[in-house]
This record gives sequence, structure tokens and C-alpha cells, in this order.
Amino acid sequence: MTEELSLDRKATLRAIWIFVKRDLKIWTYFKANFIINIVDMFWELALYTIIALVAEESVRRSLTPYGGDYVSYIVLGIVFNMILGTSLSAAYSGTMSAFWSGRLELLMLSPISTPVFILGTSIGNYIRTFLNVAVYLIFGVFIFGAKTSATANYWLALLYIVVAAAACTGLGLMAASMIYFVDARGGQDPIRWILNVIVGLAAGVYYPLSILPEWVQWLGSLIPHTYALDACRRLLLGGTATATLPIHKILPFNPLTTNLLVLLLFAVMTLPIGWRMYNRALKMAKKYGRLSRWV
Amino acid sequence: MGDVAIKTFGLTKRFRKEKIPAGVLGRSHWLLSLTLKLKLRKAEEFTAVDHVNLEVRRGELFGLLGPNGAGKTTLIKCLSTLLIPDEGTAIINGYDLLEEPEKVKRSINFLGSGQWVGFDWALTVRENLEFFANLYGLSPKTAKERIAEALNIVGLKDRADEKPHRLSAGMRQKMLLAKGFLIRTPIFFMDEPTIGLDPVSAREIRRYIKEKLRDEMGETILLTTHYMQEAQQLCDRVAIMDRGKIVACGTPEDLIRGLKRKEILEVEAVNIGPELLDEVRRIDSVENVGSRIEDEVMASGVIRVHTYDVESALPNVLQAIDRRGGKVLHVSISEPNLEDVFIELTGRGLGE
Repeated sequence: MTEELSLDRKATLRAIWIFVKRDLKIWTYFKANFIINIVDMFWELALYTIIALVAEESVRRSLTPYGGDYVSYIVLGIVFNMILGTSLSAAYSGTMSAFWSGRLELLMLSPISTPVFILGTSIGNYIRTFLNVAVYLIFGVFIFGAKTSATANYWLALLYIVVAAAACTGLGLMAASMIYFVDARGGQDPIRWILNVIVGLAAGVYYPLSILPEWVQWLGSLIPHTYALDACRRLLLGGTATATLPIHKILPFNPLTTNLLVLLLFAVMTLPIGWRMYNRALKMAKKYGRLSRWV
Repeated sequence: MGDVAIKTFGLTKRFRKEKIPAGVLGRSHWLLSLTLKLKLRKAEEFTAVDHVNLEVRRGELFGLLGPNGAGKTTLIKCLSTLLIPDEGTAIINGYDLLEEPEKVKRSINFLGSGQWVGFDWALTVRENLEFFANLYGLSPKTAKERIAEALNIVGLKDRADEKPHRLSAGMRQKMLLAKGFLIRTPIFFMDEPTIGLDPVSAREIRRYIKEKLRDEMGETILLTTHYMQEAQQLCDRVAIMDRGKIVACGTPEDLIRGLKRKEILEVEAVNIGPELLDEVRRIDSVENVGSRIEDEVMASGVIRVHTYDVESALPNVLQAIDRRGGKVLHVSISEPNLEDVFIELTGRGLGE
């Protein structure tokens, strides 16, 4: 007999799991990639350690609010930026992969909802990122001497990173909507492009913001990464409660409180806007016949 | 609406003709696309589906027959919520296409055409099917049973643990069919289901569609095809589509019976081209001409000539073929079929 399709809670969880299982299969397909990736991570950290040895004297004063150790600073910067980068890219890469493989139409026809699709394609990316983060931390701590402070507050740092990841997911949904709004199907889109330029230059991933001109520091204040990295380093590396970002000098709160408020504001604004934009983009794709490469 | 599964009301879909140059940035670069998008606002439109009114009864096996580019795929993509129509609407399984697309989605199964649609190269045939079975909410037990059944039907049981890129084009089409056979929804849209299959497999699939899905499961099936014989053998009713419009609709027998009384000359020949067809059309006793190319390299195939005086038409047709450098392989007087209905309605063959 025939029946209408439906997904109960168990079936939804199975659907999410099958996305993860598929992603893991694809990643392990080319085994050499794993090894090259690990060697690459080691090399990146080694490079920054050398830079740290050379530049430590000149940036030491700027590192005071973050405990003063450049290697620890850079290791945390890289791993937290990786997590936020995954939040930013998950919706775009999930949608693009489904588009180019011709799977997007089939997903749109299946009873899974759009959030399940986004979640399903994102979890696999997060697992991969966390594996990379673990490798970075192992190299960073055991080989290059990165360390956290004795008073490190891991749970509070986790809260900051979760809120920042939510904000970046909202921005990521906006970025994914560009696939259809401006036909950004070539692997890059204007939103992530602009954000990545600011992240590289003015979010404080690789060096403290205070060494930059003030207008560049303000540029960094426009993205959630800056606040999350600042807060997490303060919480995990110790240091002083001095103002490090331009907004700290304006708002009358402790820098950590200010960072959390700004991140919450980012999340509250970007998630619903991103969600609406993404759904509108899918509707537009259905209107103009762009869900697949073939009409 | 009780016994009507699908009903469309003036369904229309238009597309813009976009000619995006690749340029140094590549066709898909956002900066190039954004610039061109502004220019394309006034781009020319073409109507892929033109005010289509169609009614498919519950449990019916309904065929959309037409040449490539007739708008068949666009129409079923509109009906399956993959495209939003520009005008008109439809009722699918009692749900309004525009107002209740989620409910429509849950009522339908869709089998697209193209041999690489949605499959992962890193997964085996079975794993790919498991992926879709999970997305459709099948329980692990049902999924296992249905996958085994589907693989058996399409003849891929022995290749189930191979990766899709190791399969031939015909086998990948079979894999696509197996995916389509996993679920049992009230309505099944199939886009060219037997394209690329060998004749034996195609016959088996047609038998399964008719006997299992339609007769046993009671599914309403709307399939598109440009194979005249498939439509004639398989479908309860057929709508003939050309340039976005439904030009005729009825049972194959009624449509054929409705042809004007005339004789049909079937000429199998080599080197069939548009000039030859035009010349045959100009022959006095010839009313309509259609062709079907079966070998693109040799330009060989069948010309069907509708004439009211076969004795006077035949020598002229043969001379025309000779003049255009063609070679006649076989000539016969043919029984009318659905292709002749198409030829009469449009003045050309399904393969043109």
C-alpha cells in the first residue's frame, strides 16, 4: 500500500546520522589527505613558534591581557578560529556540495526539513574540525609548549565559543544564501570573503589588535570572532582586565561582560536574518530553476 | 477531487535566456555573476510550460509524450515542488501546490533523469541507497528489505557493493531507478525512466512499473517519455506536449483513432537531414512528414510520410532521398501510431 512520507524523532536522528556517516566515509576515502593534513598542522605551528621567538619582545606588552605567552596565544587563536570558521562555512559548503553533486533537489524532495539538512551536513564538518583542533592542541601543548593558566575557566570559555558559533552560523546562512542571490557557486561568496578578510587582518587571530591603528581595530569590532577570541584568551590564559578592544573603552562594563553582550547581540541578530535569507534564497532557486545544474 | 490525483490549472513556467560568458573569473564567480545579473534583468524570456491544464485520475498510469525540450521535465518539476510556477497552480493528492508544498512533498516520489543525480562516488551502490532510505524515514528493517528488492528488480544485486563510478551508464540509470523504487507514495513522477537502458531491462522496468507499482500498489504514475512505443504500451492515457503546450490528451487508442484517414509511408533511410525533410514536405500528395534519427553518426533513421495518395507520393519521396544523397534501406506502409498523432499535430516528428 502507498503512504505519505513522514519523519518521527527517531527517523530524524537516523537521517542526521546518515549525513555524518556519509561525510566520514568521504573523508577517509583519500587516506593520504589525513597524513598531509596532520603534517601541515605541525608545520603551521612550528612556523608560528619561530615567529613567536622573533617577535615576542616587540609584542610582549600587547600580550599582557592574555597572559604574555605568544605561542599559547597563537595556538588558541588558530583553534578557536577553526571552530568559528566551520560555523561560518557549514551551510555554504553543505549546500554547494549538494548542488554540484545533484543531490540538492533530492534533499528538497525528501521529508527532511531544512534545519535537519543544515544540521546533518554541519555535524560532520564539526567532527572533522574538532579532530583537527585536538591535533593542534596536542602539538601545541606537548611540542611547542603552549599552556593555559592555573585559573583557566574552561566552561565559561565554552559558553563564549558556543554563542560566537551561533552568531557565525547566522552569518554562514547569509553567506549560503548568496549562492542563489548572486550565483556565488564558485566556492566563494561575498559575505564570507569580506568576513575572512577582516578575520585575517583585524580579529586578533595571529597578533593582538592593540598593535594595529585604531581604525583597523574598529574594523575588527564588526565581527564576532574578535570578541570570542579576546574573551577565550582572557579566560584560558589569565592576564589583566585591561581594555583591549575599542568598544571596551566605550561601554562601562568589564571586558568579558562587554564581549558576551556583543556576542549575544550578534547571535540574536544574525540567526533569524540568516535563516530568512537562506529560505528566501531557496525559494528564489525554485523560482528561477537553479536548485540543480539542470532545469 | 476524490478520484483525481493531479489536476493543474493553467500552469505556466517561464525562464530567462541567460548567456553568461565564462570570463577570466569563471562563470560561477560571485563578482561576475552579480555584475551580469544586473544586466540580465531585462533578458528575454521563453515559456517552458504554457498554461497547462491536466487531470490525472487516481491509480492511472499517465504519460507525457513529447520531443526533447517540449517542457515535460519542467512540468513535473513544477508539480513536485522543485520549481515554483509563474502562473496557475495544481492540486496534488488533494493538496494545493502553492499553499501546501510540504504536504505535496510528502505525497510524491520523484525519479529524475541523468545518471549521476545525487549519488556519492565514495559510497557503494548499497550505501547510496541506504542514505536515501534514511532520508525518506524508512525504518532500518524496511530499508534493508526495500533495498534488496529494488536491487533485484533493476538487476544490480551482484554489483551492490561496488562504487557507482565502476558502473556503466545503463547501470547508473538502474541505480537511479532502484532509488526511486525504495518508497511507496500515492503519486510517482518519473522523468524518462527507461532512458539509457538496454531493451530487455527497459521491458522489465516497464513491467514492474505497470504490474507492481500501478496494479498492485495502486500508485498514480505520471511519467515523461520521448519513446512513442513506451507511451503506447505502458500508459492508460497520454498527453502529447510540444513547446510547452499540451496539444492532445487521451488514451493512445483514441488519439490514434482520431487521426485523419490517410496512409502512412515508413521509409528507413541513411543521411536524413532537414533539407530532405523540407523537400518531402513540398511533394503535392504529402500532408505531413516526421522523422526519427536512430544513428546520429550515419544520420540514419525513419521518415514517416502522411499522404492521401501513396502511389503518387512514393516515387517522389524516393527521388528526393536520392537527390539529397541519401540511401533507402526499407520501405513499408505502416499502421498509425502515437508518433503519427504528434506529426499530424505539430508537422514534425518526435525526434526532430
